[in-house]
Amino acid sequence: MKYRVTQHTHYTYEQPVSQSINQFRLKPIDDLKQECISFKKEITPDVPSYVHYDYWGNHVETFYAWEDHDELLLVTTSEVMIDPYAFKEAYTFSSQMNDALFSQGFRQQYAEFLMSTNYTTLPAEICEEVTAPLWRDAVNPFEYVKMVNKYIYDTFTYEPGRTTVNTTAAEALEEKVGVCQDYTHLMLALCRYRGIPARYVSGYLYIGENSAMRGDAATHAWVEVKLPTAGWVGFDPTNNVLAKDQHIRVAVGRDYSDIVPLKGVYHGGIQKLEVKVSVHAMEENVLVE
Amino acid sequence: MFKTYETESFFDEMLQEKGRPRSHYQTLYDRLSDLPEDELKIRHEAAQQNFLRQGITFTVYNDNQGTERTIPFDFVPNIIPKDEWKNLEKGLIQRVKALNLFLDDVYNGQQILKDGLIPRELVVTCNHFYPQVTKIKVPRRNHIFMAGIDLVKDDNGEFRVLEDNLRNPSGLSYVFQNRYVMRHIFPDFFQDYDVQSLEDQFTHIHDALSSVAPNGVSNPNIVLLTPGIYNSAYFDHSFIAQQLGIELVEGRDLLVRDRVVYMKTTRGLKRVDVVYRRIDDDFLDPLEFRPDSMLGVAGLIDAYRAGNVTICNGIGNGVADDKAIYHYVPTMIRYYLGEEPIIKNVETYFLRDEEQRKYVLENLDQLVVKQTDGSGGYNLLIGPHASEEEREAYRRQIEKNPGNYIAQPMIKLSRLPVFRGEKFSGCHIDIRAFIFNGEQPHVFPGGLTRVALKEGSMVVNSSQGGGGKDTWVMTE
Repeated sequence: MKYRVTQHTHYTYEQPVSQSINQFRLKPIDDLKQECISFKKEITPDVPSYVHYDYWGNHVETFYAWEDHDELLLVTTSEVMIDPYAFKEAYTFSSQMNDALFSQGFRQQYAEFLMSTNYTTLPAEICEEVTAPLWRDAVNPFEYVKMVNKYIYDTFTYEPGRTTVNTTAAEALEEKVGVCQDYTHLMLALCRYRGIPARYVSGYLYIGENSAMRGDAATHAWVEVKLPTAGWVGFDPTNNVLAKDQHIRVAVGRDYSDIVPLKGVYHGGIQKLEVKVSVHAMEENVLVE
Repeated sequence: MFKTYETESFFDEMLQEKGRPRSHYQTLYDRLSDLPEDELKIRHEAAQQNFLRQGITFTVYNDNQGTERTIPFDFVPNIIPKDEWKNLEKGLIQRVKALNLFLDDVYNGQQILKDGLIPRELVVTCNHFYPQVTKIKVPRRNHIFMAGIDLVKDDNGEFRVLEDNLRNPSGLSYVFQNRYVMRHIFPDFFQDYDVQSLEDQFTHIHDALSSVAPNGVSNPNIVLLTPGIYNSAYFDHSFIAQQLGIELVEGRDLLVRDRVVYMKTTRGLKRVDVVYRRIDDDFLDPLEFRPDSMLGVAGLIDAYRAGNVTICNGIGNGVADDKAIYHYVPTMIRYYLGEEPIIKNVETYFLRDEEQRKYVLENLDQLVVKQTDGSGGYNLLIGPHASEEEREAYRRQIEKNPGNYIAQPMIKLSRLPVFRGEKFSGCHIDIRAFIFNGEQPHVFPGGLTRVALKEGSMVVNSSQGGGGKDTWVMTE
């Protein structure tokens, strides 16, 4: 699948602001499963930006809007190609794979994605209670993750506005309500609790014309788990699907705080934020099973 | 005055068994024995007043009464013979070199973790590991401008490292003040002793800071960034800035524009090359770390990443001085330098390990238990001195999050006489040695001798009622 993604991130301020320093992670990932064909950004006011790659490999840009301004507009346009054949529906999970997943070496190599973070910390009793029946019924860890994906989808109510970017997995679980970010943080906690390395993915979702998929039409979030020999496998608990060629990956990290799409610090008063995203399919590939 | 003095079962720095002074203490011992008790009392009192007058105070957290107080001073100096010091210097340089290489490795290739010599998990999940600063080209690959290594002597008289402080070790100003007071009120004590002077130390320290300036700037603008007057070590900050002849600034005095750090002055902006910061990592830059920090400077990390400013000490050094990582410092020395450690560690048990945890919990009454990310002597359990209830309460704390704790055997810290008004009594001491890294590593002669003034106590931290002594390194 080939997509063109355009994102408008528009801040307007009640009073002119100055000395604004901003950082964004909006360039789609370029790897074996996904090619970022082009990436353009346009910043208003017109200022240069500086690129670096973070610890997780994400493309980050920083820019300074120094003089007084009453709006800040960032338009990013990306063309992305996703290889539809790079995804599988099921994994045969051999006993060797099982041993490898729970080996010391694997634990050490993916330690960052097994740890609890501020967003993903849940009391052990709760993790135990929620995951025990799933863990018991799952024939292998891959199936377990799939069941967690479904469990969250089934028990949660998708409702924008009830949670904020600061809501933790523990808080979301109390009300069983939230958006993709909350679904994702909870899923990270439940995978990590059972020793399966899991990471946060931010990106875009291609919904298409008549799709039943939901998610903020702006930016989406889901989970990737690391399974031996399989690489990182994407799961989208907000839609109870595997993340494949409709999921355009932008950044990865331990939780939301590692991948914040745009953040900044400035001198001045109240701001209003509007984000618009469009994802267009440029050509369809016929999937051959 | 020494007639009733008991060394008990401890190593006493001044007196051997049977009350005979060690040779390097003989002269001072004779002098103290000859001075009338009243005169010592008056001079002791004068010394305390001197600290108060100079406003040398330390803030005690968790204290509902006035938060600032002076550190009690005792006039019996800690005298270290030349040869003993030379060996210590070598050991300290060796240790800091390895720790610096470790930091450079952790924030770049992580080779030591890949080679499996230190559990990767321990490092990358540590609270003080900051992925934000990986792959930054640090000038001279120098992450540790200033290290504070806490040393103790065990009951065999052998020095051991108790703790590494690689973030913002404080206490340097007290070393100078202790010497100043000693020189003024006890000048006669220095007679017949060739004590290494501290006069030119700030030149060394300034040189070290200049040598890490980015892009080889020759006459760099260096500032000391403090959290402000409410910080417990503010006196330290202002004293050091003054002695180094550098600006003492707060976050609001600096700004970062297009990756360059500037200081606001009455004559406009002035570029800053080196920031000797005494603000914790978390608060340094609201853009990259805690967004609610009012103490830091937005964009500072971006300027650091661009190579336009040097931040001393480096960011994320806490992964190397974490109490759990401490256990692996000898491993680092062997791995990076191919040498055997000159100064030994104290044996450490990890409570994350089931077997070691079992041992520790069964022997709580004989061990010292610490939180891996704690400091300042807060919230530690000294098993032999704790009550049954205290140990039980601590046990419950440990069981909640065992990975957060380490335990060490109770080291019988060496002692020195402390003046008590009518007699001397033995109190436990440790030394914080300071090491500065510039073009060459430099060990500050002496360091801060801290003394546990509470009868029988082994906690020397100034936040826990510790006092100070002058430290003499002999040149002959």
